[in-house]
Formats: sequence, structure tokens, C-alpha cells
Amino acid sequence: MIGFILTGHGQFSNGLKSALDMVAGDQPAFQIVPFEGSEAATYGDDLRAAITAMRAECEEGVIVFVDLLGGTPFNQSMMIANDVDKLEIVTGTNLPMVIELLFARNGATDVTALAEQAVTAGKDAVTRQSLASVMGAADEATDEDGI
Amino acid sequence: MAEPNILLTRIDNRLIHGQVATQWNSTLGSNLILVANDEVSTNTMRQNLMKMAAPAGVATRFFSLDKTIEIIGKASPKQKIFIVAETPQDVLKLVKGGVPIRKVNIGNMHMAEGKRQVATSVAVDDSDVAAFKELQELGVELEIRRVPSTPVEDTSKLFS
Repeated sequence: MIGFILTGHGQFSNGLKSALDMVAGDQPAFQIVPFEGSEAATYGDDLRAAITAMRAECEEGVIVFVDLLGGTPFNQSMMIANDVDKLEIVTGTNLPMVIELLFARNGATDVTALAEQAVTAGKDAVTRQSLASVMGAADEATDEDGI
Repeated sequence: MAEPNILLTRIDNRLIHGQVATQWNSTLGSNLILVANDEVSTNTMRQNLMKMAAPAGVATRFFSLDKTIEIIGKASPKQKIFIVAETPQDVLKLVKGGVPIRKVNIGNMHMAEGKRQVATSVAVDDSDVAAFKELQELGVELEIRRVPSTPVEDTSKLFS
């Protein structure tokens, strides 16, 4: 299985994890590393330890989901990627992206392709919706066969 | 006529939402989510919101309980149906009306006045318990489970 690490500023990773728990339940090979307050001093080491341990468990590789391109969680992840192979970093992480990837990683062996899928899923999930789009008449069932 | 291919029936007072659309449907492999609910069957806005939640390639239907009972026999064998209903009373009405429901997943039944919390996301009153009892007596298998990856909770909690 491809392992997932989720990290970001403040309680970004804790919050996203709590949303994932509600929607998708607890997941294997999934760990969060918050970057905040009292743990800030050891963050780089903590993240390296988490990634290294996950990579040892996950032969196919690891994806690190970070909140912000250019932020400390991203910068630290990139430096760790210098020493760890089959490590992909995805930025701008959002909930629909991770939900889709939790399914997509079942049976996946190509960590790069999976990271590319994360980018597509995350971008596609950002939309603008207006009341007009939900107020229109509902389509009637059109299947000739069935209900 | 062949029996309709009903993969699962879920009780969830939020009907189609995140857990249902992203987890249950993918795990079941259904291609049709049938919301059996009188209120939603006439509420276009709620229908359109639920259609947005449904995964691509998965059809949705919003039928009243009576219409579900009337039409279910016409389902095509290619339609792999996931029924979502709001309450155990609604499911009981479907079963008594002849909808061949074998297994009911009990997902979300929110806490409300007069109800008691019996499982993580399930609160019931006496009327709910009576409906569950009757469903069991009719041979319907009950399962309390919030999402596919969470453990099944003991069904006897419903009746304690």
C-alpha cells in the first residue's frame, strides 16, 4: 500500500483528519504531523521520523499531503524528499482530494501517478455553485430499461 | 419477473450525503441510489443537492414510499440498487409493501427529544424500536455501521 502523511500549519492536519474520520472512518498507513506551537522546534525531526517510518512500511512509496506551497511543512518535506525515494509531495491539500485518494490507492503501485491523480481530484473539487443550479426542475428518469 | 437487485438499504436521516456518496456507494458498487422518501420526492432543491453529491456514473431516483413499492418490480437486472431511507418506519412500510429488502444498514439516526442514544450515531424512541423488531420478525437482517471502514456495532443495543 502507498502510505499517506498529512501535514500543515496549526491544526490543519488534525482538523482534516477529524473530517476524514467522520466521512471515511479510520485508515491504515495514514499519519498526521501537525506543525504548531510547542512542537514547532522539533517539527522537522518529527516529520522526517514519520516519513521514514511510513516509507519503511510502504514499499510502493509515500505521498506527503501538505497545506501550502512554500510553507514550512512543504519546505521540510522537500528537504526530506532529497534523502527518501518514492516520495511524492502534493500541495493545496483538500478534503475531496484525500477522500478520492483513499480509494484510489487500493491496488495502486505507481506513487507518481497517484500523486498526479491527487492534483486533478483536488482541482476538480473546487467549484462555484449558485442557487440557480439547484432550483431547476429535476430530470425525470430516462432509462428505457428499468426504473 | 426477476427480483430487483437491491444491494443494501440504509437508514440515514441525512439521506445522500458525504458518507453515503463517497464511501458506501463505492464499497457496494451500486449504480443507482434510490432515495425512498415522501418529502424529498416533491422537493426539487433537496433532490438537486443530492444529485450533486452522487458520484459520476451513478444514477439517482427520488421516489415516494408508495411509488417505490409500485415501481421496484420493474427494475432492470443491470440496476444495482442502493436504497436510502430516512427512518425504520419508512423501511418497514417498504418491506410490508413488497420491496424485497433483506439487509438494512443503520447509519445515522440523530438524537432528538424523546430519543435515547443507543450507538455512536444512532438514537431511537419506542416507535423506532418497534419498527426494528417488526423488521427482524419479517426476516430482515439489521446492521449498525456508520461507514464501511468502521466496525459493526451490536444490534442488540437497539432493544436494550
